[in-house]
Amino acid sequence: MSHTVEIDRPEHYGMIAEFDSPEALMAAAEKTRDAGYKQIDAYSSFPIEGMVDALGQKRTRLPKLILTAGITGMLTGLFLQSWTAASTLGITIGPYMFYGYPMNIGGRPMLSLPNFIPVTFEMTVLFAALTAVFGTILLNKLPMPYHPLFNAERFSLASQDKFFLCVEARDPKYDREGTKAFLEGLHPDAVEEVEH
Amino acid sequence: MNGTSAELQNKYARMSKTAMIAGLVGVALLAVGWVTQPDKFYESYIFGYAYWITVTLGLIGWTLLHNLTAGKWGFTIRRFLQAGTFNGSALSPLILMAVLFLPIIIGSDHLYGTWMDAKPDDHVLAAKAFYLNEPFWYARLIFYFLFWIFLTMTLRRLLLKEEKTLDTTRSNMRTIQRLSGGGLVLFMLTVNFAMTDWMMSLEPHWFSTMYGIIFLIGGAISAIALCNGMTVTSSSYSPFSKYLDTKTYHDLGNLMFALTVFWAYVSFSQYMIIWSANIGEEAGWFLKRITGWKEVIGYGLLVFHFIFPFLVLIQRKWKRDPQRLKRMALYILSVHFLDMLWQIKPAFQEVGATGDLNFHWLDIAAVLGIGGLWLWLFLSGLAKMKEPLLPAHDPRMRGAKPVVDDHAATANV
Repeated sequence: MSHTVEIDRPEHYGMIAEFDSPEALMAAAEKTRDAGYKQIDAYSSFPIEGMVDALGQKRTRLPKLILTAGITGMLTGLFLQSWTAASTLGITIGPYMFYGYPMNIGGRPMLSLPNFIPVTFEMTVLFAALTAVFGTILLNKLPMPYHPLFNAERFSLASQDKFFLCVEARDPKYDREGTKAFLEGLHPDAVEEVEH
Repeated sequence: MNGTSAELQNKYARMSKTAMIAGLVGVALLAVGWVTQPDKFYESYIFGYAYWITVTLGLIGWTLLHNLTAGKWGFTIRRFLQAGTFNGSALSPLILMAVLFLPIIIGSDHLYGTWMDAKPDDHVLAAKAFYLNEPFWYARLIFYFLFWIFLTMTLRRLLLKEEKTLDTTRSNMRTIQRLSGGGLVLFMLTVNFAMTDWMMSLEPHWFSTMYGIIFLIGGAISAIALCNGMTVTSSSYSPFSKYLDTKTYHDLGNLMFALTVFWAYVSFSQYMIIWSANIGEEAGWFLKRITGWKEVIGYGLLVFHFIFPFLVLIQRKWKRDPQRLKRMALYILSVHFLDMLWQIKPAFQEVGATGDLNFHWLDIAAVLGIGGLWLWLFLSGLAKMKEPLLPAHDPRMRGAKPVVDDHAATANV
């Protein structure tokens, strides 16, 4: 059984419009958002305050992931210490057995919660920090060795003094003629189609 | 509503009258207490004094920190920092606190009698006498206040000069930063030793190296809470209304949030080290504070000074919505009351004494009396202030406005 796999993607990545200033880009982004486009993004050589709202992008779910990881780390730290220091509970994993090994240290209670706090705290921070770092990388889909936007001739100017707005082809409202006309209505310096 | 800065200063003037009345009522109650129960009076007075001196010192700390780091949050609250320490006249909160130290000196026999008139066979105190003796204690007291007043006076003068001159060489700014850098080191040391001298020496046999820092952090969080509350109160008037944005509230809220964690960190460190060592001479301090109702307050502090504000302030909406931020600011200022109460008042009880709280109506009178006078000077200083209520012409503030570019901001003058 053999048939060619249809790659389900449009032949164009999208359409970019070039602007001269961050203010112009911001105004254009707001108009594009208000026109009902969802899959839009802005490109500039420095962060522009308020651009996330102007693009109508949703807040990242990273904070919730970090909170979850922090709580997980906290419970892991607490559980590990309570188990090993205050119980004789044994579990078998494959050929290995793990035991709690209670020790009397200076007559303190087995479940010495104050002494458990530093490790619990560090585990909370460790889990949360690792999630923050790797979550940022993964949610941004990095590493990304290829991005279609670099097919656009003018796009290299984004790292210099130009500002770009991109409407992506996967947007349901996207159609080549209509979107092109719309973007030209925003008075950009140039509009260019981006190949995949 | 969008008022002018003159209307805002009228508002400060009205608030200062309320504070003055509250202060006078508090002082009248304190006077009654001084006559009828002098011992109880001193115990409550040092508690009320601890509350307000930590707030004052917290304000100095934020001034120094902001001079070194810059950032929009600090320009927003600069006038509050100045009005709460040295406002350019003798009627300044910091000078008030120096004057209000007098009753503590008068009551020093009762408060510090244990070490001031140490028994000859008390070897612990004999070993501490090289530091804990009366002449040295008075000399340090004078040095602390002279240093704090000098620091705030000089910084105020230099910062106002920085706001007026359009100095492109930045030599003035360098002086400010050098003074703040060195000043911050000496400031932390003076606060640490001052808290040791005034509060820790109430129980001279006990010691903790974390003690002064706990007071400093407690003061810093209350100071930033006061500034946050004042910022929101002023937010619908010019020039604040033109300048404040969600990001600034977010930063101010984050500072408060970060310090709830820092407070818990230092407080818990002290507890854990003493708990682990389990030595009688150290553990006695906590033993006094965890009998009966005081245990409830102790655990209550964990909940109300850390867990609850942590869980509230971790949420964006509580930092970005000014009204909610103000509510949390008032909340922080009230748990500081509980913190100081728990730290100071059990000092006057014996270990193993009854579990009663040692709470007295004079405690409230002390916080009200000292606080009323403090807020009166703070608010009337703001009401009379001739400088613009935001340091709009500070070169670094212009830099902070649209895009942070320190170099460009100072070079284009």
